[in-house]
Amino acid sequence: MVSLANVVINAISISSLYAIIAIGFTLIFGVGGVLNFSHGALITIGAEASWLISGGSSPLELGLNPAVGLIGGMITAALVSGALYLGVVRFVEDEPVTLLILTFIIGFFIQHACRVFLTGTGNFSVDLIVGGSTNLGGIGVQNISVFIFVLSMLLVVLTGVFVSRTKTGKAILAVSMSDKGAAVVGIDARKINLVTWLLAGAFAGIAGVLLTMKNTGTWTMGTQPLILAFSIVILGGLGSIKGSVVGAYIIGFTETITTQYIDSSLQGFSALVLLIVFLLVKPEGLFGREAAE
Amino acid sequence: MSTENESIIGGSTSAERRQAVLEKLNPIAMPLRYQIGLLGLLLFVLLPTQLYPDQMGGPTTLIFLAIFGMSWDVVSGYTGQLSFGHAFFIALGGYTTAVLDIQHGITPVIGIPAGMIVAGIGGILVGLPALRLRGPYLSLVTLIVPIILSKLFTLFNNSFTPLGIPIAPEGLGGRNGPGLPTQLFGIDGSGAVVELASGYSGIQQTALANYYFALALMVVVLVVLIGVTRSSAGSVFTAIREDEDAVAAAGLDGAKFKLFAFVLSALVAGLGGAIWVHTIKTPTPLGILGQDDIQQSINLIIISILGGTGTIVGPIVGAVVYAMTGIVIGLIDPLIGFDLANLRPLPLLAAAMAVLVFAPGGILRASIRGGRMVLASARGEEYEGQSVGGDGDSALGEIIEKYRAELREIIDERR
Repeated sequence: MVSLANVVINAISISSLYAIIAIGFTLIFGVGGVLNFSHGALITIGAEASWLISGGSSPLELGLNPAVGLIGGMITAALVSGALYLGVVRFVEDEPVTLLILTFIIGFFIQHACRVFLTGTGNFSVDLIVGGSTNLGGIGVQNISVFIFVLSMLLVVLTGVFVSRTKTGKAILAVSMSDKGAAVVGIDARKINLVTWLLAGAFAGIAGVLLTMKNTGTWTMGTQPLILAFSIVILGGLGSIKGSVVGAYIIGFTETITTQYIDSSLQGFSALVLLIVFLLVKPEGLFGREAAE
Repeated sequence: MSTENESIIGGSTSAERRQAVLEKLNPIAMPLRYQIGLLGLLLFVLLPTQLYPDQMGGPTTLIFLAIFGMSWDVVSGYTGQLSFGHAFFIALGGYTTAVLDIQHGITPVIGIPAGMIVAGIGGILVGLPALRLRGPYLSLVTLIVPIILSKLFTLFNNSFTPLGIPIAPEGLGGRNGPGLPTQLFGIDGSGAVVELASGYSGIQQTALANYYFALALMVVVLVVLIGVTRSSAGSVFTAIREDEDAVAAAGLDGAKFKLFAFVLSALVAGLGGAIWVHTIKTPTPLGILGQDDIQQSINLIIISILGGTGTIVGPIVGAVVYAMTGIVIGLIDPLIGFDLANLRPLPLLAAAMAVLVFAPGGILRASIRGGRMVLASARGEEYEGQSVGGDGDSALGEIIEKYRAELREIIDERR
């Protein structure tokens, strides 16, 4: 029997990962009005890049420190995300359905490309960035869980500060509120969009690397988090950062507790049922009516 | 909705009407594009003469994909209610009849209509939220219902007896599926519904029977769906896609028609799914729902978009293109000495992306326009219509417009 404390710690670390995935997803929606279904593929890309850089059995055989892999995964995913915006999304930006289906197809394309050219259908793993476990008041806690929690929370806080304090952040907020108003005060919406895509890609990349460290990586590893991120974002209210964090914790805890105490095959089930109930009762989400923060 | 038909010859006698219908069905007098369509159908009928029985699996699968694509097109192409999880209905139909057959010993002859009805009920379940949820929210619901269904298969893998009712006493089989149901066609002594000759000729006949049965189903579905979408109900579907307020202003209950589209689509998908598992498909979550439980649904969207949404005929063209990419890759392989087949489904996904961006009306519309342009220039005239690939009257263009409006509403609401 896993102790309650461990379940809670597990839930916290997975929820904080979901939070940064969902924030990226919701930023892109809030700013550009784009539902980016290739977000899951960016998670895969981050994971695969970190495996190439620091994985034990990667074809490059670099075998660098996992920290380098983490940064490399982040940068690669951010670059791919930026390239997606500049190369594809920019041209069909005002056609949401084309974009919706297109990002879906691009996501599949990227994942299949990873399968074909990199890792095949097997699992891959990278070394933990911090191994071992710490004894916290009699409970053994895996250091990687603590690391994931601290890093994710740090990113959430930094995003909050970035959006509310810096000039670029305020511009992001402005564009998400009204692109016309933003244009009037001289904000280049294209540039702001690019920044959010880069940011979202970086977050997805980090999440991918950390997920690989926590469990293992596969070419389809991005799909489940993508669907959960979509659910989280709807639960919290489309476009709201605060909503995403709260939603991530609700979904993360529901998920962990049901798989732990009821049935492990319920993974991804309870959260989705919860979501459908939510959609029917309160479709605008928890924080749906407030402006994006 | 008035039921009176704007007949081509109003107030005529039934004999005159019959005469008019016969004239319309005369292949010689048909417009060129219908003649090409009939020719395509003829090619479908003649195809088995060119193949060995063990090669019939691919074409039969193609026909089923076309059926599923057409069923997607009714609801998503016509009413603009994007469904991202259409395999849900296929799985409902397939699993219902498979479980009835394997665990209750009920013959597929009854099981297949039962599967169809269960899928129809699924259509109501998904269609009801569609009445109040807009754009992205509805997409999410349709995206996750097949995933939830797949989890249910795993959850109740050993027995499914809700409230003590033995719906599936031996369970839904998890990732392995409930097992192989009775086949509709099989060799002598195989226990199939229709037993054919024994030995190799029996295998041959089975493959042909499966193919022609699927083809007959496709033609029936095609006729029914074309009938519905070219009727006044079809006009309402299109009107819903374009402007729901206008539909309401005309005194029509848009909700009723949306639900009707969902149920009709689900019935067709369920029927196809039920027959699928009794002919060439073993029911498993991976086989019916695809990778991650969503790949199959996405494939159907790709097929419909490739062919052309909002046309019903488009998905058949799309399915043929879908199958052709595989064959073409197989032919190129030995020429360049590189195993391109490993790349699947990358070329197909790339093709879908290209069609989405450059010809959102799909291959069918682009080729009809291209054909008209060629004919016009052959007559020495200037072609008056839109250029190839323009999305002026394409269904996708209108779905896009509808979605855009809904997104704008959601975003504005938040401000």
